[in-house]
Amino acid sequence: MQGRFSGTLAGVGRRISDYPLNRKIALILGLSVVGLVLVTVLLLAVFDWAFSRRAITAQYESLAAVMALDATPHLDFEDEAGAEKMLRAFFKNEGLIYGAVYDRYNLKLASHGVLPEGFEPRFSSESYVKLSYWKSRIEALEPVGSLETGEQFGVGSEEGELGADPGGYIYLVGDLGPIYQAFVVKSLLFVLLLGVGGVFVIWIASRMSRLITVPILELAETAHRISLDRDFSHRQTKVFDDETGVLVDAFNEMMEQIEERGAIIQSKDERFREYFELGVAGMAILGGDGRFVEANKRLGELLETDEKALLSTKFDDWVVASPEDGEEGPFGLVRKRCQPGFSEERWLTGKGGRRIYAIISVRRLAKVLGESDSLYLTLVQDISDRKRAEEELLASKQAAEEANRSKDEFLSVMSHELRTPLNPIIGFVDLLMYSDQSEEQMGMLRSIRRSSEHLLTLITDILEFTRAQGGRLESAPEAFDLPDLCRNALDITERSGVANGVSVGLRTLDDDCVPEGVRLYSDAGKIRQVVINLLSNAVKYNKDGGKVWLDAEVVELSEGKVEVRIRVEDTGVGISPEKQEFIFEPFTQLDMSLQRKHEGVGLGLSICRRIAECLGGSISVASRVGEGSVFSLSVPVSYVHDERAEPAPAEQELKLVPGEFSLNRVLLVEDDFENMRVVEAKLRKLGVDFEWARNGLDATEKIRDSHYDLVLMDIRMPMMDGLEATRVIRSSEAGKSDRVPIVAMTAHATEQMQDECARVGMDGYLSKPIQFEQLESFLKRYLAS
Amino acid sequence: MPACFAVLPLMFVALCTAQGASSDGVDEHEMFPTLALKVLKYVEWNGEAKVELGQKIRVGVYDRTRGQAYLKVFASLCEKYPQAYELVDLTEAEVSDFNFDMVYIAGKLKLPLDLLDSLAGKPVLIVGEHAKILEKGGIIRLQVSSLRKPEYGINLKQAKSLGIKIESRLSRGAVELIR
Repeated sequence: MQGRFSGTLAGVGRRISDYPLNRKIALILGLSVVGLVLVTVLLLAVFDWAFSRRAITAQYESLAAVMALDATPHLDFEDEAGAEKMLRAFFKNEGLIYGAVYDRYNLKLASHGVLPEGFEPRFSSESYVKLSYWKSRIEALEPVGSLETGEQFGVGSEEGELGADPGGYIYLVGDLGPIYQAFVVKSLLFVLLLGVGGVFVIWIASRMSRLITVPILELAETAHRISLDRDFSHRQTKVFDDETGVLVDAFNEMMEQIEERGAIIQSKDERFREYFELGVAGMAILGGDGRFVEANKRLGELLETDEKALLSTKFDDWVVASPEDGEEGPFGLVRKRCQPGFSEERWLTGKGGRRIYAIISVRRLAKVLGESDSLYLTLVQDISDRKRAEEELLASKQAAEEANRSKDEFLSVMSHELRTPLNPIIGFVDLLMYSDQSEEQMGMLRSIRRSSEHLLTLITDILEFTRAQGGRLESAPEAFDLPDLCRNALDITERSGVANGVSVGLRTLDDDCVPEGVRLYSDAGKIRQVVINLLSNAVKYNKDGGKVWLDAEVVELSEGKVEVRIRVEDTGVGISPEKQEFIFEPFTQLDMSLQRKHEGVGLGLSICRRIAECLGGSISVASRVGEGSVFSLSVPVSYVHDERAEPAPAEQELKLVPGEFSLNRVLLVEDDFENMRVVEAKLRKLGVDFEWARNGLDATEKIRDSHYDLVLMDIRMPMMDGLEATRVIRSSEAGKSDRVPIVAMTAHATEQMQDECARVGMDGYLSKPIQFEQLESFLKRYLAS
Repeated sequence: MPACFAVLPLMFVALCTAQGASSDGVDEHEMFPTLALKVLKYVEWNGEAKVELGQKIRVGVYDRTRGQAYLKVFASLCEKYPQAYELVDLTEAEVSDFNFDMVYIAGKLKLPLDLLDSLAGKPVLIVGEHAKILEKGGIIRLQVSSLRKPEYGINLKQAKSLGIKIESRLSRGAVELIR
């Protein structure tokens, strides 16, 4: 019930909400007036009823009292006729329908009218007036004062006060009908006045509300006309200076702003349209299904068609399909990826079949009011020329790389082929020099030996330089100890120093800052190569009786960086400042006279600088002519945990004693007979017992059948090369505790080969021609322990 | 208790009336003294409603009727209310003080003219039954109607001249009124 009422009320409210404004105002005023009048009428009715009730009560009280006074003599003289006459006289009062006079014994003395049914007096010394609204009757009882003979004397009663027993009673019954009728008449009159007043107020309100509604309706009409005509120059004329006038002013001001903004938008739109049309790149607006909505002229040119013709096609019609597109097609794929910054390079096919390679950028545009689907701004930038240039460049690069590979292979082969004959030359010269020779013969052998070494150095330098020049120097870091590195370099150069009358020695070595349990980590081989080169130069360009000092230290820099600094100082001829600028350039030597005096092509320092740069370090020189030079090498290194369980026994404790290796067996794997003989001679010279295997296959069989303490393995061999043989040997050792050391011997003096040897499980690497000192060093390392 | 005082005289009057009525309908000697005392409450002496004010009323009774029945009734009524009435018998005794409030002259046969002369000019309510009493200075005459109902006549002119005011309530019911 309550829900239905609420629903009805809400419905009425909604209906009223749709009323015109003047009707609403009239309704509000009318309802207010009606409400006000209703309340007034209600209050008037209540007061009128209350006053009427009071008046009728007072009237009957008064009437009964007056009648009681008049009836006293009649009661005293028991005059029924007089009493009836009196009652008749009082019946002139409107509404009185029954009156009676009772004596003190409640006996009726006289009466007039007809007593209504259900009414009878309740005799009491107290007067009363009783209203019976439903019966529309009023009854009143008034005791009549007796003041009988002598009864009140001496009592001192108040005037008008009756005794306990009245001398009689007046009983009246009246009709309330007239009061009701008067009330109804008055109420009807009020309602009538209310209706007339309400209608009048509504009429007045309706008339007055036009002062408000007319300007508003005119404003609405103007707004409607503007929306229809799209002409924002219309303005509304202000009629009044009231709130409607303020509204009109605000509307006109808003229209001015809209007009101004519209003009700005239009100019911007035209400008962007110009950009779109005159863009050097193809531009298009695509719908959500990839259909062209707009396209500029440039895009039409790229696709060899009219831009208007594009509007009947889809994006996918022009894109060369790719397997990556899947079922979604090119546009679906691009649309999915159209985040800011994304672009894709695709092949497009023009109408005439011309293929263009283009950068395609797709951006989703924000939805404009009224658009149900998103639009996509597509930018097509022709990069076919660049693509062709890239392809040509790529082809050139591939060709260059191919040529470089050919050059490397050529260098590798040449290095091998050049070293191979040098190996027996140097080897046999060394053997001859160890045998008894005359002074003259020894001099000739020294010349042969020096020339061979020069040739070998030249070959090595050219190979290194070629490799560095091609940017193929690569760092191969490993854990190392600075003392070992220095000592190894000194070992190699000390002998040539002695030969040249130059003392070479380690002056300072400071690696105290290296924490316990860690080792330095860098490409120790390359650092050693630079140090040897610097020491060799210091010996070579020194005076007889000169000195060469090696200083090495490990320095901890800020932020945890560690650097190895190596200085090579000599008392040589020195380098002039102008020459110092070019000393690290390739094919540069100090002067022609020296060039004539000393061998070399001036590549050593150039290689050193490239190596230092490759390792992230630097090399520099400080020199004075005639006093000597100081070459400084700085290489950043890092620490690495020392994984060696026990430190290897110091090599310096090993002493080369003939017959020391007699208990060891060495397997020499060499296919070249001459080379085999050179190594054989050196091994016999060192007192090492050995067996010869002609190739890798032969070697694997011998190792399977016998025990060897060291294997000297040539790489390039028929049947089975050294790398394959090493793999076989290492696989056969799987699960065994014994592991035979294998040292490679090869004329393939490249880092790749060195790496390959290490990868298959070789423990060392000897570059041919085998130097006697190098062989001796390896034998010390692998056999002495 | 006051109700007993009010009811008992009425019962007595009623019984007397009933006895009188049993012979000739009205016993004037029983009824008229009562009525005479009743009319006192409608009377003001020189503006004083003595009954309502509770002042004692000095009543004189002249009764030469046989057996002085009127005097007896008056005496019995006044004895009942001694604080209200002072009864003086004017029939035989020599009275020097005629300062009465009311004098009742009983009987219809002869008027005591001497007495009336003595009361002349004094504000005394003279009540009687004689036919000529109103003409001889009386103010109220009590009588019985043909229907055996008590009636009365009033000489308002005489009352006014003596400073006695009779309430209209009483005068409205008078069967004879002299203005």
